[in-house]
Amino acid sequence: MSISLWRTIIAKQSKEFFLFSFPAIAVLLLIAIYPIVVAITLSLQNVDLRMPWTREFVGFTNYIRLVSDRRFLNSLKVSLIYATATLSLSILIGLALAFFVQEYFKGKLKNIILFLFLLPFVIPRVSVALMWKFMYSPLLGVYNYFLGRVGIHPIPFLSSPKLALPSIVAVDTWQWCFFIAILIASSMELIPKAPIEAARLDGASKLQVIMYITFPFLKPSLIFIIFIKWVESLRTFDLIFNMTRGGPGIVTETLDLYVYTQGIASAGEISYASSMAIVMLIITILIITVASKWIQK
Amino acid sequence: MDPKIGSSIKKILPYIVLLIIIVIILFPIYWIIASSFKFKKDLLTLEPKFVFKPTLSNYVTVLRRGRFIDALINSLIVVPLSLSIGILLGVPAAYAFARIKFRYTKNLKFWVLSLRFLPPVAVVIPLYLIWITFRLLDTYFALILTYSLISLPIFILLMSEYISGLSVAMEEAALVEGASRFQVFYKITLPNVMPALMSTMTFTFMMLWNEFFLAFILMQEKFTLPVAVAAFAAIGVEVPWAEVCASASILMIPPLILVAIFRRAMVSFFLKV
Repeated sequence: MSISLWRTIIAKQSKEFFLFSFPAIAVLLLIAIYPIVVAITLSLQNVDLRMPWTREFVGFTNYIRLVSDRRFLNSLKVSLIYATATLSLSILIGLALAFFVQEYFKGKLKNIILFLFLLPFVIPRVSVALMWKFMYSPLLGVYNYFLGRVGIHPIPFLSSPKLALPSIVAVDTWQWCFFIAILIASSMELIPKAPIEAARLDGASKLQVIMYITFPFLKPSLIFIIFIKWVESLRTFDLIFNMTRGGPGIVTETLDLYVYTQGIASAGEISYASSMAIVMLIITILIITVASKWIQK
Repeated sequence: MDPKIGSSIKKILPYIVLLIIIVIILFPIYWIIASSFKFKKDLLTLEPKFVFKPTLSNYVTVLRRGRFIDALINSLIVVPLSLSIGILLGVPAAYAFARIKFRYTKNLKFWVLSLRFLPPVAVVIPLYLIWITFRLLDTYFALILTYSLISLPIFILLMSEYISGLSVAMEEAALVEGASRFQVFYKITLPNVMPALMSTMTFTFMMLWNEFFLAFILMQEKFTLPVAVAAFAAIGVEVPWAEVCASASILMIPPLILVAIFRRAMVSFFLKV
């Protein structure tokens, strides 16, 4: 075939590609990339929501202010602790649940169990936040009622500075661990049976089979799950906002809650809040890059 | 110990553990639904009532509030329209990603993937400003367009995955016969991915139905149902728990119905997410 014919074919294909994908890409550019550019610009300026007409280029002042803002550093710390805690808890419990279900149940019963495992994940997070807030309540809450029955004084789960964050972590874990168990259990289904049987015949223990056959097989999907859960745990506005609003004090104030308070709710310092949002974006991009390298390996 | 008892304990033990797990899953859901049917005197007591006379009065109170009905209607407008945009723009793009050879497909795909994980907080302040500038803050249009940030990446990524999984033989034959790309897409590919499209739609519907953060910030008057439900818990110091339980239960109904209908598709679907 002549080169010019190839060229027309390629040109035609590029045109077709463009026709099919342009509307979607245009909308994404408008709704995601343009705002990111605006956010970067804002973060280098000094714009206040109460006086949006004054715009002044201030360079990295906002970013320098971040480093000495204790409330920002606290929110960063809370976000990271929250993400790490819910991630590790829901993966560990999810793994245990998946092994448990795979080991002891099969057929129809297993399908029913996996269906029940789906429920906490699909319930709206606003409903989840409110129902747990109700159950955590020191006076009316059902947990404190049970604790009272065994002689324990009411525990202010969400209003105690020590317990507030762990209590929300527990809710997030409740919502995710069963779903992660489904994901792990379904990838365990795909593990070929032959090598496991061969290893068992050769006298390998159950633990050895898990260590040397099951885990290597699960590793890619585990990395994928860790990645998804990490990114999701960094955006937790709905759960935390509806349970504690970041309180008591700023004990449960994550980065996105602080961006909201600083940028929109009370202070209206959108430039400063944008610099925080950009920090959040950089953290997410770092995670995505590291994870995609990891997955490719 | 008698070895027989030992082995029968071993047999029963998994079922006992299973029972505990199921209670952990279902109890919170049961509790909020049960509480929503309680009279205030049964709900607001120090000793929770496990046996009670059911009532619909909390639902009546909630549904009589104009704003709640408005929010329900807003959700019923915004979510289906956002979903339609996701399908109309996302599925053809997915087809292009999967089937049409283009030099930069891989880069574009990575770009869409990173948008799938974009933290909404990174764009919410600029979007807020942009919609103010265009005098579109608090309009359906703004929220619907904003929601394509959620729906488009999901539709593009998942559907292109499914389409790549199909055999190309039929499509190539049709192309050789002189069918246009669009005909091939519309008449051959689309019918073949219908089941996958249905589960992607279900999944995206739930994501949008549950979305709180963007709606909360971008909609001050015409907010959606999750925002209205959250607003119940924010009134004053005293939380009106009866109304909160009823409205949170109403919010749960559509996702629960969808999961019940599509449960098999959903379980196998999540393998791909």
